[in-house]
Amino acid sequence: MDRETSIVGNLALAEQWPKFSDTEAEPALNSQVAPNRTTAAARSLRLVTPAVSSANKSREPGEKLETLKIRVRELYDEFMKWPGSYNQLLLSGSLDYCRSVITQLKQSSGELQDKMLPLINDYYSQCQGISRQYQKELNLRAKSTSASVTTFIEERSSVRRLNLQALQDKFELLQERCADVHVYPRLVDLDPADIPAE
Amino acid sequence: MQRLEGFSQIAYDTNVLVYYCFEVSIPDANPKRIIRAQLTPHTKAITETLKSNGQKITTILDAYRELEDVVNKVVVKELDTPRAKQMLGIAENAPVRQQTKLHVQTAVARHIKKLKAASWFVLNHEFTPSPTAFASLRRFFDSIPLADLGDSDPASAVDIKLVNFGAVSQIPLVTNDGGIHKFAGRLQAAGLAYRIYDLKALNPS
Repeated sequence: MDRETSIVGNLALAEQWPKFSDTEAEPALNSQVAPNRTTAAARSLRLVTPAVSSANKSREPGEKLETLKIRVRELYDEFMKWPGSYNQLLLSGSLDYCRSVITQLKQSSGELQDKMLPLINDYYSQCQGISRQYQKELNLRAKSTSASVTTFIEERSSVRRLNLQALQDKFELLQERCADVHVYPRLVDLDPADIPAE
Repeated sequence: MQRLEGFSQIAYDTNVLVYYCFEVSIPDANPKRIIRAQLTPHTKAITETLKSNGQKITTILDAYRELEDVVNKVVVKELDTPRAKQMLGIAENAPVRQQTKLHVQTAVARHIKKLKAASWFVLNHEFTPSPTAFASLRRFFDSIPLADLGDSDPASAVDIKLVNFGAVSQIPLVTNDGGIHKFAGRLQAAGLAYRIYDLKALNPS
């Protein structure tokens, strides 16, 4: 399938998904089919946001940062297993950037952490949505056919055909915000030698 | 370069376009860093000579469309070399971070997209090979024993279209793809191609 005619709406779909804060539980699934989904991936199930527990709401910013950093790292590791492509590097590279931002944020004020954390969390949720979409599609296939390792790899490969321009734009905005508050430079201004060790 | 003289247009494959655009500067680094692919200076020298002669670079839409994946492959391959790590200012035993690779990938892709607006670059939207010509080329490439290919990848559908584009338009094709240029003589002898040149074998002066 041509990139230009591919799943342009996929990211728009991801926009509909809940924004998981680091304090939220894993989302539940229901069987409601969202409208305007043009692909098998887009026909899959919709996520439902669970209520945020009051206990989690009281977490300290530093604690939230650490939780988010772990989640970002896990998702980064997941994308690193996917076959190499332009989009795979967009996803893994931008999450690597988020990891560095979180590392730098730990040295910032609680106020700044509170300001930046939702932005990173929002971006993370978008990336997570893409991963979940493919995982779900994979599970559906596994039920309908005897999925092989090849099928699994092919499924992950299909991320290369997605139009992730909207995600790329969102990442640009995240970089600008991080640079504006002097937490971490934009990639174009970043000296690779200055990337904090993880 | 004498071999390319007299032609108003020269066709490049996607890899060559990527090498031409693979020059990314990091202005805030001290000292200032410029990241280039190994073949970038050579490709730039050739292209600048062609441009100064008033010749134009062209490619077909199918080749242009695969640029993002080609950019990714070239970036990942180039940045994992000790030479690249030296340019980036990171230790040889340290990995190149994904965010650095992403920066380079995005910058190179942006440069290539800007080519569309360049007066010396022509993107051919119309060309489509005839089914007969495509099938003949496919048969040719499929008949090549794997041992003859060596480390080169077998010709892709886009490669075949580019070879046919050169043949139909009588335009020389410059490629870094051994799966094509190694067989230039045989392709020409079979009447399936026009002139095909290995990028590395061209002398810019």
